Amino acid sequence: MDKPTTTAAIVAAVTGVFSAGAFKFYEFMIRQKREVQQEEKAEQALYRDDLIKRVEKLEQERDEHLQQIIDLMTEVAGLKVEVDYVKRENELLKLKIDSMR
Amino acid sequence: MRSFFKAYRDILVYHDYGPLLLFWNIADLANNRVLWMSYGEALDGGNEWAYFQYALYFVVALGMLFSLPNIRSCSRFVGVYLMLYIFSTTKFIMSVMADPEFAFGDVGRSLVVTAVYFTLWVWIYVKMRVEIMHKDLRG
Repeated sequence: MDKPTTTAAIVAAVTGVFSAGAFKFYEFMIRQKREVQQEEKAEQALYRDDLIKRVEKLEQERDEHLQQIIDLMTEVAGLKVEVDYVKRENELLKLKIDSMR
Repeated sequence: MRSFFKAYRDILVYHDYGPLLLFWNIADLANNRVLWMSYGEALDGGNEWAYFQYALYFVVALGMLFSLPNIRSCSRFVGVYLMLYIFSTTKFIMSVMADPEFAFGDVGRSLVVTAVYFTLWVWIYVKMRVEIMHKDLRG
């Protein structure tokens, strides 16, 4: 092989090796960046899952409390009716006592 | 003005290389001297090394054309093509430096054209490698 051919072959080989090395480095940087992004994403997902669980629990508690309020309201309504009857009976008894005097 | 240049940057970054590579390959194969010149003619002219070089270009361009649907294989052929490009350009520069009579045209113009083509091939190769890398990262 003549001198230009040898030099050209060496230049091509060296360029190839350096380019491959540079690209490997670029690939490594991108991989690192992607890993950091994935970790951040996983943390965010963890926080989101925790929030979802808390909301579910609070909604369940709210439903239970609503049922308790409804039960109490029914009971209060029953007691109101009972108090009305007792009041009326009391009035009648008062009238009876007055008439007996 | 800024958006005008940004449009060119976006073309380079986001547009695909596939159709360009396909048409370029076909043109490159059709233009290859191996198809238009016999080995005997090259031997007579004392250009047998140049003939081998063109034959190599031809084989690599054929490989590119047939492996176009498989990006991994195609990128290897593009890599080899780039190596050949660097090799032949360096050889040309070395030969011109050794013997100014070697070039029978405008050397500057030839080198500018070669540099533009070289940029094109580097752009295609980098795009392919980046695409492969992102595919690997996605799993």
